[in-house]
Amino acid sequence: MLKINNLHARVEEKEILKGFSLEVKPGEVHAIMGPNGSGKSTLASVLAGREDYEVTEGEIIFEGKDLLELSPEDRAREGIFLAFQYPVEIPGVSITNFLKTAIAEQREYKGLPPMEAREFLQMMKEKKELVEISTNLTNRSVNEGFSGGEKKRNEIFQMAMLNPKLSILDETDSGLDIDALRVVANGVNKLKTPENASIVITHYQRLLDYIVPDFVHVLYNGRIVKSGGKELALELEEKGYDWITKELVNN
Amino acid sequence: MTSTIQGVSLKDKLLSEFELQRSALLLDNTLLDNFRNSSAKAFETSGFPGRKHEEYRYLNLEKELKEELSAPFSLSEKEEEGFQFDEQLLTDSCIKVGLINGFFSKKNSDFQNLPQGITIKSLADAIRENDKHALSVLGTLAKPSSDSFIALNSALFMDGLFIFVEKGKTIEPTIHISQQLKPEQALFAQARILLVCEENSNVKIVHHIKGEDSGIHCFTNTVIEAEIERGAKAEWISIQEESSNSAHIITTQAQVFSQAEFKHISIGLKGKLVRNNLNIVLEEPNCESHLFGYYHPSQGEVIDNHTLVDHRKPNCNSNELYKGVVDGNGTAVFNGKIYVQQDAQKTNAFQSNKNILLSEGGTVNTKPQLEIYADDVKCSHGSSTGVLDPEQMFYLRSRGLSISKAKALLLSAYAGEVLEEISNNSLKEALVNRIEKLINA
Repeated sequence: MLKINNLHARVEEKEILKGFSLEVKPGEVHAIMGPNGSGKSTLASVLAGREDYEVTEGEIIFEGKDLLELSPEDRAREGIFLAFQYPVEIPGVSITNFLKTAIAEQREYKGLPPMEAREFLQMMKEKKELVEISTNLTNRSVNEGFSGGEKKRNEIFQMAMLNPKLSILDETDSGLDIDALRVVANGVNKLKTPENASIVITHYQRLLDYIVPDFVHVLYNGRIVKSGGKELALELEEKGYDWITKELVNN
Repeated sequence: MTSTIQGVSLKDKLLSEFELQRSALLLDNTLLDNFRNSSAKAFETSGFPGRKHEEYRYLNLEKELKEELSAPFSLSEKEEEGFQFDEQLLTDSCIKVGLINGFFSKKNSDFQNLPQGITIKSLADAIRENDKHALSVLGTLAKPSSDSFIALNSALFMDGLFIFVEKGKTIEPTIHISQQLKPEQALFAQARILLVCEENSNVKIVHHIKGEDSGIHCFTNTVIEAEIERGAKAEWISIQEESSNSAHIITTQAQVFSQAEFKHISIGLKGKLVRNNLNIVLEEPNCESHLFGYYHPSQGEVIDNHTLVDHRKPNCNSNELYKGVVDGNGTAVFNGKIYVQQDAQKTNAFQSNKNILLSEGGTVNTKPQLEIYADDVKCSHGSSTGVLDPEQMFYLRSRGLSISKAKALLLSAYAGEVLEEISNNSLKEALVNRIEKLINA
């Protein structure tokens, strides 16, 4: 589904990703862990197509297409979804109107007929229940005045509505209390199918208690320095990131 | 200023037209003689404001004040033909008022829903009938000595409207004024509208400037005087869609008395040059004004809003929100003054102006001015000019919205803050659609 080869990316002359490679197959959950400044958020931004980042080397192939050639909107339409670390507030734009427009645009891209109003409302209802988000919230403007937990819940709600092939969760656990974390993780788990995949980017292991990864990768200084199964996350939690850096130095 | 063709300036031409039409301009009422003379004198002294005039420095009026313009002194039957209201902007059971070349058109007005308690008529008729309410307001709010366009209008207007709302009456249907030009030649139309709201009355007016691209360059100089007496409430929605080859200056002078409320919403969507002079005098204690504006000049257009809120007495509130979007090489001007006079303690006055530039070719000139002579007041003002928020754009695009859809959604939300002040839903919807069309154009 996704193949990243030797990716180098920089922002404002500073190289952040230095030869990042990763392969994700349908049905898989990959966790990317790493200390601050290792390049986690840059990876998420490059995948989603944020324009401040410049890819200087390497390639990203998504479902056989060169992702780097696609605009952010076309990446979304191809099935990539980024759950933002800091979702922006958009006063005056209701969540309902926003999602209606997003779905219409995505369906048009795929050559599907517009969704019937009734079908849309039915889907809203189902997905709201799935991620335990209230109508009270979805009637409001996008993220305006939302708490940290509400913002993250809204991201997962949008993910549920847009049904992406590949979801990238960028530090979705940051700023969440344990209850909110459980709700968000629960939503992600329920949305998991054999056809879709997720990349979970996180600093801490605790999210991985709820979203169980198939693979754990340690990102350090712009590339993956260690990969393993879910037990690697526990080992990291126990020994800290210093353990990795020491191991690197010793080798 | 002078724009000279064959040695005759427009100013001189208009003054000689004034001399020629002297008797007609009296409107069968000798009481008008002094007013006309002093107005013509004031115009003769001031002339048209040039670019050095502080209040008009951002407007290139020279280009618009062409020699071939001439003031109309009558309305022909032919000019009354083919008049159409903008159906989308009409609200349920509204009272339709047609204004052509500055003249009231009875033929194109529909008063069948006119309730008790309100009079709407030709201003010329009101003057001929020596209506004391009309005559007591005419020229006392909009003073000819204060501005050359007021002076010119006062010297040359032949008609317009007189709207009178009786004490204690709430007028349910909206008054919809459709102001249009039917030019056979280059017109310099002078329209005068008087609104008198007696104590504790309540009225809502929609004033639609409906321009048609006739290909003839025209100039309209509209002066509105509104007296909002004690405890009265008036709402004035001004929608400017002037033609792309004409200019329009609309001066609104409102005087608000104790416990009264004046709400003005200005929506400027189109026109080669549109200038709004909106002057509010909070004349007595405990009254308020609410001013909202949205303007959207596109390629080749100029929309200029000058507002003034004059707090004269204690305990008055005023708030003001003007938002603009400038497309192409369009130009927007916002100049908002708030005066708080020495007497006006416990004033609350707020003003905010925001602008979004959609392209590098656009221009915004914004100047908030606060002059406070009282010491116990709460006042604030702010202005900003920027582009669409790139973070919001990226967020929307990352969900699959095209750049144009994302822009449209953000700009509609931006305009929405002003439009939500319009209480009538069908009118609001119609304006939302119109602004969306402009955004997507």
